[in-house]
Amino acid sequence: MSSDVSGALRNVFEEMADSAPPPAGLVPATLGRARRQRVARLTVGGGLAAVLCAALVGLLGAIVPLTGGAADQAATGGEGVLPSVVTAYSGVRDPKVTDPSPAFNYSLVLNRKKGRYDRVPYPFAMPSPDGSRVLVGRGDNSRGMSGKGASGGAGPTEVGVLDLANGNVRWIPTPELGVPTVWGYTNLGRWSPDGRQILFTYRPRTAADSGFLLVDPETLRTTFRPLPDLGTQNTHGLDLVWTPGSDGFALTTSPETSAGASGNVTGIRFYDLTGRLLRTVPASASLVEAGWFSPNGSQMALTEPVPVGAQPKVTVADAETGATRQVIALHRPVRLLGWTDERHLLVYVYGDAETPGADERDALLVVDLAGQTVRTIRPAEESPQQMFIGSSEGLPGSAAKLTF
Amino acid sequence: MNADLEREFSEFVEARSHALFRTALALTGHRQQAEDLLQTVLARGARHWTRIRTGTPEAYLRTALYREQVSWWRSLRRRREVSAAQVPEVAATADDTATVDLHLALRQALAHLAPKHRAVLVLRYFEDRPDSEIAEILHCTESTVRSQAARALARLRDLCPKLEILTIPKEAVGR
Repeated sequence: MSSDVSGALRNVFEEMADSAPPPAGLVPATLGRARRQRVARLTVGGGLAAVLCAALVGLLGAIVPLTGGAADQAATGGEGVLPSVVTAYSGVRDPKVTDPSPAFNYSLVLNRKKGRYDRVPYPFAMPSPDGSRVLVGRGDNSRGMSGKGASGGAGPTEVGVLDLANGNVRWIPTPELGVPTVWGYTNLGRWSPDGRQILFTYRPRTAADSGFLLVDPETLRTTFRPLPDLGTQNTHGLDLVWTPGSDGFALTTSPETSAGASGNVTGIRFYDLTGRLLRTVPASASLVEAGWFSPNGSQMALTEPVPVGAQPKVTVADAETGATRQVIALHRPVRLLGWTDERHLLVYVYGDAETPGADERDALLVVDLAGQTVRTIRPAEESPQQMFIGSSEGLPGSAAKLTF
Repeated sequence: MNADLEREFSEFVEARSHALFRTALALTGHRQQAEDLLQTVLARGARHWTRIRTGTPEAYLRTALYREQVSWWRSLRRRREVSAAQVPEVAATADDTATVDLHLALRQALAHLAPKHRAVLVLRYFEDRPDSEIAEILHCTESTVRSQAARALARLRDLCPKLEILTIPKEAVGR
């Protein structure tokens, strides 16, 4: 072995590269994926034709309706409108764009009046709880624009609030350099459950400068509060999540080990809106999104990465004490999206084109706390970067098939 | 894509997937993520095969692997999946225990690097690319490559104190 770091790195990369053979069935899987994306492109193409018509009659400039197509046909049928719905598919790949530019992704946002999804040209879109506004991000500051941000981390170059009533986006102003902004090592923002504030977790290179920003969606006024725990107790790099009452935040703690390495999850800390620590509950898995609190706030769904071959699981814990109430074993890797009610979770599973008899298409599954699937829904678009769930209240009956 | 082109693409993938998958594994450190990354890029290559087949398709796809891996929207997906399977550890053979320990610690530290930092290290130390080519692949300047590499190595040292027994590569401070 070479006696310097570069030699060690070469050896380690070589070891990694030789650690597994290429996946079997790569050619049919790739061609199948390319065909599905082509189908999606054709569908989007139909939507774009509708946009031109929409523009002529003065509809929203930023909104691209998908008439018919994937959004309307995707979900399985059902009787009546059920309580929950996916309010946005954020970061959907656009197969027409071949370079890895920000235009590579768009988003679908639920049109509550018409009960369908409309396309917006932003790679990030999160609707407000009442559905009247959408937090959107655009651009990519990971290449060549890092000087504008607080720290140069990967993220959008601009974040704003889209008003669905008129299609206007108000972009959040950029404070002077040196002042924490919504750029840099922050997440993409999250609406509070009551829709009155937007939270950005701020994790700059200097851990002690960590904190969070609260943005008033009416005035776009930004308030920064320091929270050093984000840097010192958070080696997993997770974001703050809103607590159900919109009166504070929760953070999964993973402090450094004595050797300076990333540590295990030790608990969940709860803070008020000023960043004051209120309490800590023990935990061994992570709380990643506000939607992982159950609807009445009494339970939390927690997950943790698992080694290859191990069975993924979701831990249901008491939100007051952290005590484990149930461990749900899952049969395959999933993306946990949240709760549909106190007894059911919504998860996203990726299609499996390689296993004979397996479902090749992605699916949204409603599973009970025993891990049994009680409902399967086809997503409006496959493999979005993020999905957001909300209430289906006010949706027309024609949207029943989108609800769960 | 017609049948002839599809056959040609299939033959290309059969012949070159091993080399491309090695890069994807070095970039991600996760078998499943490497599979997804490679399949994403190959699917894009399939759609544009008629255009890229006449040039240097492997170079095109290799560049696409790096750019896809460092894109911020991909980082969102990485963070929100429940399962993040690690590449299986390689069994120790003739290496002494200290080397095995160092490699294990280094692998764990690499897993905590930002994708762009890791990509710079892979391009430098796995593919032995000069900074000018790295800059072209990652769409940035050579000075950015140097600063990213220096930061990546500094972060590695923070995460992996065992590296202190080794010497600093001179290219980390510019080459």
